[in-house]
Amino acid sequence: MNCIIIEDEIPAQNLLKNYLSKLPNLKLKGVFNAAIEAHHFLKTNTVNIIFLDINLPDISGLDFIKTVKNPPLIIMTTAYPDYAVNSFELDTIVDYLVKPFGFDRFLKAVNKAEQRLEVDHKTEQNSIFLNVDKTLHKIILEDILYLESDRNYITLVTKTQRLSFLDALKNWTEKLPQDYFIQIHKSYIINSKFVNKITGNELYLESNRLPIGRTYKQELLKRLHVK
Amino acid sequence: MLFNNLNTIYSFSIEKPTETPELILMLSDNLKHVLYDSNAPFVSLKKELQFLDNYIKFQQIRTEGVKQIKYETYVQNAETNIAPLLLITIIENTFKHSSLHSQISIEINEENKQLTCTCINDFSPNKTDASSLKIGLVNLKKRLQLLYPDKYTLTIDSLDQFKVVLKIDLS
Repeated sequence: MNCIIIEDEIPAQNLLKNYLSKLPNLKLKGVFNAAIEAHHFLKTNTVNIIFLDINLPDISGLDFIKTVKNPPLIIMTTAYPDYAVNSFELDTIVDYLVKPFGFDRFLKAVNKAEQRLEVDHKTEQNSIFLNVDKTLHKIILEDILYLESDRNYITLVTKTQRLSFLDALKNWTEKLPQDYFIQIHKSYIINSKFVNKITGNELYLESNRLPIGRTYKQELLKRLHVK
Repeated sequence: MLFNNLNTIYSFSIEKPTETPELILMLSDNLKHVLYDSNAPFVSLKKELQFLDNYIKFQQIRTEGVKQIKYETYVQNAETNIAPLLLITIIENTFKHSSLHSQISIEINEENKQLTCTCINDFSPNKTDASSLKIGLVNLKKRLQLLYPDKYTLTIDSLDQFKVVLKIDLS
């Protein structure tokens, strides 16, 4: 794991550096006085954790997080306890350290972040490799829009891909997470997260129009919580 | 502010323990000044300056390498009385709203009981939160109006730099 520090006060930086030197697993990749400096670094580097002071000279730490795409996990530091409530509304923030804090409290925050990273890692594993024409394609299950079967073939459709391969739809009903994949027709399994609307026996999924099989409709409506 | 300074001391106690005792005394003196001495209607310039010296010393440590601080005082008669905690408002402002890697200049001058305090800092206009700035300065004006009616001038200039000049007739 690696991390950076964004903090405008030198003594506070030194304290964090000192604590981090006791944790060989957590490598310090950079120390920045201002959010803007870190912003450039984050464009070309990946970090797992940011130690972020809320009161920065250029923009506030909270405003900064909102500008970072796919922000890493964040441990906030501040001398102002009243920020705590607001900052937990952003879910990339794992903990909140009120200055001055001891090593024990610091370690607790790092452990929290580590646990979060493990959980995130597991969700990332929710993907499969699909062998099509001797090429392995990585498919993140959540990104699948729908599967369509046509005789002996299945076409798997995501926002960016269409992959056809020899298989039967029934082999997929259990392979996909059953909490959001629903069979709507003998030839279609859809990802319910992308459903836009249903009119009559047709279902709109992003820009696709798919038929709903008569025997599947009731179950579909139930699963979508339609009353 | 208090907790930022405690954090500075905490960090020093680990990194540079030999310098820590002095910082604890400075912080404790300043707390005493804010909590007790400032209950009196007037304090000596000497006491008030001691308080400001400590405050600025802490700021210097905290912003070392990030901001440059120029701090000059010239006081003819240190026993001159002044209402406590007036100058700290504009000095605090100048630190709070100064931009990164910039210079801060603070000058305090007393001659024949005529006090001038000048604070200059660079600022980034888009970041400067005008509302919080105003509250501090509005409250300062109210206090000045009560304590030194017709005996003070407060000018604020925010063109390229932020410049606040407070003049008080302390006689």
